[in-house]
Amino acid sequence: MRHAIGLKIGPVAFRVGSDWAGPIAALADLYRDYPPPTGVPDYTVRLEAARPWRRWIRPSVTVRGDHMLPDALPLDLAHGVLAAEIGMNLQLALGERRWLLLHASSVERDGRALIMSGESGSGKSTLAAVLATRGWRLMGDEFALIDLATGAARAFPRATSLKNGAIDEMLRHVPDARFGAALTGTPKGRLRHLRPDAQAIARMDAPAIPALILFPQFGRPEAAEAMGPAETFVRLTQASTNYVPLGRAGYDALTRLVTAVPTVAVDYPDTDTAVGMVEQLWAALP
Amino acid sequence: MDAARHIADAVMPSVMIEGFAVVFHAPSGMTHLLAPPLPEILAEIAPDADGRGGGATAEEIVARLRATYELDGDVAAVVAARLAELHAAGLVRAA
Amino acid sequence: MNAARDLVAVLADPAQAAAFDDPRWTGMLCAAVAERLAGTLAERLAGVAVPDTVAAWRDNAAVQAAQERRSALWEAEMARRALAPLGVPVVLLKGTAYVAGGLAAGRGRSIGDLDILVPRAKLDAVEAALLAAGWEWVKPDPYDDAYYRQWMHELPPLIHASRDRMIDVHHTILPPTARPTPDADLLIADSVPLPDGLRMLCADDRIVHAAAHLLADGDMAGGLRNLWDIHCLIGEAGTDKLAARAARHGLGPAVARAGRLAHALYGTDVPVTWRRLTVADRLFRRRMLAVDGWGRDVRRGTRFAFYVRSHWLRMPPLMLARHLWVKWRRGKQ
Repeated sequence: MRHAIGLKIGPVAFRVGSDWAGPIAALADLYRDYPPPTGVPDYTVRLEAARPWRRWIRPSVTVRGDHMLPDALPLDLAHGVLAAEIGMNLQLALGERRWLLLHASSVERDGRALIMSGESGSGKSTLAAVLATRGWRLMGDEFALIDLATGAARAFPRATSLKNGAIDEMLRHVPDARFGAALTGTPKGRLRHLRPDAQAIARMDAPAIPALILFPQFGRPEAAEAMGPAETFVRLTQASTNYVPLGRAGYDALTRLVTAVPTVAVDYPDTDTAVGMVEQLWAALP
Repeated sequence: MDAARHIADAVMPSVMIEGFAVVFHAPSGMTHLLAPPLPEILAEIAPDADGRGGGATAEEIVARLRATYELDGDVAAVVAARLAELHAAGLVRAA
Repeated sequence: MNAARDLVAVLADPAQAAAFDDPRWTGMLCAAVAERLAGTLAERLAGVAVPDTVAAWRDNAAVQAAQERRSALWEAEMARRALAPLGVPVVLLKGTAYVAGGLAAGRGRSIGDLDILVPRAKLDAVEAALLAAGWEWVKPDPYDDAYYRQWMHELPPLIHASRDRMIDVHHTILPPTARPTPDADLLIADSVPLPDGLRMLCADDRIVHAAAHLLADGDMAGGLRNLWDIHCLIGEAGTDKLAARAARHGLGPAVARAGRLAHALYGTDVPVTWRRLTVADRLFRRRMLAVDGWGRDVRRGTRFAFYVRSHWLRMPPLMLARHLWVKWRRGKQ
């Protein structure tokens, strides 16, 4: 393909090809501080013009690659970097078999991992990004990787995807220079990517032992309630894209995780409150 | 009750979590959360670790459960309903 | 450096990859994924010294293939349970058969839907038993349904409600409207039993079916994978009585072509008469080698010609015209 880039995020190496230069340039900027990958990539993503004229006339990006969704709608070329992110997510979600994948953000302190599981809108990505400004190491905003043999969490610190109000929130904590270009009119509204800090990048191969699982929910009065392991198990199977294909290894890893690690459902009205709750819960761990 | 015999697959890895048996069924790759009396029914009709034996009619299952546990209510109806669920889930088949 | 040719060469002889640099590996692995041959290639590379990043790719692909194998065998088992009370012979076809039968073609194979062959006279009973056991129709359109029932070689597609997997129930291996007309009764009569009571085609019929599927029943999408199946099947069973059996089913030319292509691409050990490609063969080969190192299909022109050809083979021209007209008319409403 005409334009291409190789990226290594944690243990996963991607090759992204594109019919246009723009998305590759945007990726190169977001990932400029990451060590370049060596060897053969794990996955290939293609940003393609669906028809030859779509390269120039109302250009739209069709996301393809090793793993694809048949009905995926194309995206505007202006949102090409989002298309690349979607493409990389898809490869990981549909293809990964080396780790149990959880739809969760994660941060690390003292070799132990805090895992925050939730859907879009739960605030898990923003919370992880804010904690990263308070002495925690960012491990990831979207996917937590659990080692099937050891149960350790591996980092997948991609550029954090922040939407709408979350962008304004993070601008209170980090300088504008850490952000990528502002995208408007995406399917999810306003979007900007936040580049992880130097510590997150430098230590992205350092695993951490899961010590606490949270199910955060933004926009509610402050409340915290312990969640039993049976409910946690069910919710995490729903939050995993590859639990079923992993078979016995996935079952062993997840049953171990929920029986060894406490889980709390946390409601919070704003991120400052959430940070306080996290610190309290963390301090109370044995 | 009819004379059909039901048999479960042999030993399945099972972890007790908050009173549920969380069971991994290797042939299907599916994980099941089973509440009583499902694990008990399965235990009654599974073969031993060497794959021998196992299997029982619905009537035999009811009798064995009665012998081991304190039960009330319409045990036969409960067993029939649970057996149908276990068949649909693939955990039990005709022997 | 041609990813498709590298893929074919390395599948046939894994040692060929020893001298590959990273870009060459990258292109070939990507082509393998696009051709649904990742698990097969991983299997061929097992125990071969490869760079670390290739080993990581290989291990991932191997786990994926193991999962597909488990899912395929489970679907077959659930179909067996639903159909056992009927006492009807149920013959597994294609990938599921290779895996259930422990055949070389099954190692690392990517498997999609479950395909079974049953006697035409028992179709209604089979349909009823599957519906009762939780399968549902995929397409509710009555025209397509009538078309399928009358003219196709299979029931309209069924999907299981909770497992979300499709089953294709065939009563012969090519549409009755297609030009070659295989002997369905013979396929079933000579099928061989598997340990659990299901069956698969006998060795020669497996090759005949694979060749029919490759050449007479499709637009060659997945051609490299289908041809690899044939390469493995011939490697395991030989070609002793194959030509005669193929002729019996009216599929002599298809099997011969498949044999020639397998020899040309994978070096399959075939009779001398199959060791040279015809001019038409070369068009098929060109179509099959159309994947590039980014996983794209680069021979769009050839692809369209094959798509038209596949429909022409399924239906005589007059029927084709009617079918397309009804489809077009409905599309206009």
